[in-house]
Amino acid sequence: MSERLDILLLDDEPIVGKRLKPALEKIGCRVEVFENPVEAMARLEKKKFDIVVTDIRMDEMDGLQVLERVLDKWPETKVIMITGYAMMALARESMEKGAFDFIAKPFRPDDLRRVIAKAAKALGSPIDFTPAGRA
Amino acid sequence: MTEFNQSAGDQDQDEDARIRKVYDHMEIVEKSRQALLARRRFSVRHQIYIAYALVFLFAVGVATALITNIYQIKNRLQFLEFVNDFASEIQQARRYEKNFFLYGTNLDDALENIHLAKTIFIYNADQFAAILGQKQQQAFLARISAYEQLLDMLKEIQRRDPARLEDNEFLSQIEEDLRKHGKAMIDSAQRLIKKEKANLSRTLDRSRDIHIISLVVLLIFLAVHVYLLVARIYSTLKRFSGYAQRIAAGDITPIAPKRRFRDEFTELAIAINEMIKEMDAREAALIQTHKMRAVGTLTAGVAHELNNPLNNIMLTIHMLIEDYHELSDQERLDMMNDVANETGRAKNIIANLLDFARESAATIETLDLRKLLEDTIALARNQVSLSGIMIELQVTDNLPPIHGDRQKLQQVFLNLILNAVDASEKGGKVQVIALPAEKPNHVAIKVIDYGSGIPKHILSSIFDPFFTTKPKGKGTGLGLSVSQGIIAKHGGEIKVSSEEGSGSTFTVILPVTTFPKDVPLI
Amino acid sequence: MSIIIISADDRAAEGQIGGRTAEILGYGRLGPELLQEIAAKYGVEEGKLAEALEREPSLLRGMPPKKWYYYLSCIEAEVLERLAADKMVCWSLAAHLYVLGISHALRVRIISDIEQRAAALAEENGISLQRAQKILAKQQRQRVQWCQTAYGQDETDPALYDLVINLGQIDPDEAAATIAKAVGYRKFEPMTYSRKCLANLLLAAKVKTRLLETMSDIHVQSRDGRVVVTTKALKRDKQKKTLAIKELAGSVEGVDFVEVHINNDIFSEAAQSLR
Repeated sequence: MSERLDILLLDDEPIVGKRLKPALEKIGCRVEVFENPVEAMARLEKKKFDIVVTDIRMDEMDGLQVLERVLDKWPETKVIMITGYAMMALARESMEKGAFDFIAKPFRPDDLRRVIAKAAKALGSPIDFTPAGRA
Repeated sequence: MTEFNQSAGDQDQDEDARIRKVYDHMEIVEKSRQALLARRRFSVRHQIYIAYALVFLFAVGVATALITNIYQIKNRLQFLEFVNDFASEIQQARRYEKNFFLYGTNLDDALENIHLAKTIFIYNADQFAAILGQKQQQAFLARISAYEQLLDMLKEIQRRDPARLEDNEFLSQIEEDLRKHGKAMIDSAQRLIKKEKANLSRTLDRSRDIHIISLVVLLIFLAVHVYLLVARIYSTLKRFSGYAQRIAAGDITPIAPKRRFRDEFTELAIAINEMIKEMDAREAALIQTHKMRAVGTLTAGVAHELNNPLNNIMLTIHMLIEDYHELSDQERLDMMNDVANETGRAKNIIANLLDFARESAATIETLDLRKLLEDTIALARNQVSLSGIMIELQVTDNLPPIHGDRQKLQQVFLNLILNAVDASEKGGKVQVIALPAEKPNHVAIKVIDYGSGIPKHILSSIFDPFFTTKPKGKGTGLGLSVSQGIIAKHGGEIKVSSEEGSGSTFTVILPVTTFPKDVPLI
Repeated sequence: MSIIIISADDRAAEGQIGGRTAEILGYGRLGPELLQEIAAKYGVEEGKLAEALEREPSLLRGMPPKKWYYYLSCIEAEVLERLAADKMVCWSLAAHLYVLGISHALRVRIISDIEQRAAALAEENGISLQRAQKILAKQQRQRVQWCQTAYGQDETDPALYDLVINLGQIDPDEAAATIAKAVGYRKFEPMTYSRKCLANLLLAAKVKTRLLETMSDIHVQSRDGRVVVTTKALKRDKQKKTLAIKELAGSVEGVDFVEVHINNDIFSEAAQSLR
């Protein structure tokens, strides 16, 4: 297993970060959680993350803007969009703008882990993840 | 299951309330129908019939008077002729009498004349009596008789004892008597003629006066009647055009009796009330349809909004299951609290929508504008944030509360806000401002957008039913029309001003009512 | 990586372009040949399946609405099953009417010049041009009606599609190349969300097919293994029907939970009370 994956998690719902941080750390990722897109962008200016997980609908800046700016700065970074407002048009727009994947809320921690594992594989540093199956 | 039953119970109650409302309104319409019919009937037709009958009776009266007058004139003319004959007979007699005294001619002619005069007088005694009075007539007759007797006596003396005629004293005594009677008779006759002429002229004058006065009276009567009739029809028509305007503006309280009697217009009023009843039912259906459309629009937003708390619950529960044994009690409690809170959040999101969607009977309540507008904006929040638009609410402090139907007013403001959001560009701003209106005792609620504005040529038609600028299938074109109806029922109005290119302002003006009963039942 | 759904008034053009596109991309082919497989699996006549795809139900032709809906549902479930495998080109199976909201499905509408088609038809069958035109016009009317009854949609509305190609201007080969290129756009790449959407459609179709075997008036929605069945029933049959649906639907693989919504069947109710 190679070095740990750096993940930035951005969602204006605090509980999302609170629950997903330990969930992702369990599969060997380093996770930084942000609730404010502006702060997250500031952090992204300084540090390259392997994976960015972002909500789409946020007040200061929407996830699609985050997506564009991340890819502008770090083209190899995999950006995963999560949103409660999943619609076909939004999904297509995200993909077109270069999102790695698109997940609709509500999702299970394993759903995200599976996508993270897929992204890790695409990045060439696969992680060990076997879903626990339906609890 | 209990909850389900309860909600079913609520539905039943709502249903009851709705039915009750329909019955209430039907009752109002029925009551006004009875009130309209309870009055004495005095129709326009009656008024016209009566007027014609009066004119006819008046004409009959005038004609009778004129005919009587003509008879009088005829009688007077005839009588005047008699009096003339009578006077000339007496004058004739007097001439013969003078000749007798001057030339000693015989008295037969004079006697004959005076006899004829007497016959004429007796023959028309009644008329003479009518003009002169019984006493005068008797006196007159006595004079004629006396004159006749004197002439008879003279003739007798001339025949039997001509010598006595030489007695000057005796003769002049008789002559004086005769002259006295003759003169009196002639004077009386002259007076009679004069009097009778005056009478005739009076009767002729009366005839003229009857013509003039009857014309004037008829003119006045007709003028007054036409005025009354026109005023009656015109004022009623004006009243009804007022009703029509009022109904068009959305105020559909039934027409109440305004006069003490009923007529053809009463039937019209009843028909209009029936129409109002029908319209009311339809409008209620329309408002509900429109509301359900708004609910449909909102539901999409709400469904998405719900995904956030649901996601929080789902993530928390799964992590709790996954890590149950590794977590401390405090952490587990913390997670359960999160679930509880997020469940409450989800419930609130739905409750707000359901509260708005529920079909309820019209209830007039005291409303705090700030709360009403905040709730409405909360309803639209998902829709609004999807479009990336900011809503700014400003409410002047200490605005007086208004009275109205919370749901319906919310529907109006929601519609205006959603319209404003639709009109705004992404990242734009919509302002909702509540402040006292210029009109005293009114408040104004302005919904301002900074979109492209409404072109002048369609500004006048935006309140028309089925008018829409949205693409096919997006809008019913009923929103503003329904809103206007609701506001009109609250005794208010909606105004719009728009500048092409810089946005539109919709202003709702509502009266501040001190007593809830001032608001008509909706 | 994606799926392509082709719809046209002209069945031959559909097949030609669909086949060609699959060839270029190396995708699987889902055409009317699938009906044979479906017929075998469900033990129904292939001809009946083909008829259900073209004509509205008619008692005269031995196609009661109940059967008709069942046949359509069988086709839908099988097509969705195969589309879930990705890299598929699908045509002539009405997929454009039930594969909805799937971001990685490229939906293509092929339109052709009606005059040209009429001329071709006239020549092929040795009939007059007017007659050929009349036949086509009638077919079109029937098709619109069929779409409306079966899926409540108007397949001729261009807004339903991602790409509309006019065969009057673009040759079938060019059309296939265009489609093959368009499907390569990143937009049409599958993702967790769109795969999930497709899986939801598939599960709903499977449950619907299972239920329509014995029942009628069934609508199914599904999400992550939760299935919502909406149907109509008389008030007194409500509980019995709910249980039956839960039992049947629950037996479909992948169903975790079944929710049944029953609306009162007011018409039957009225008919019963009048008896």
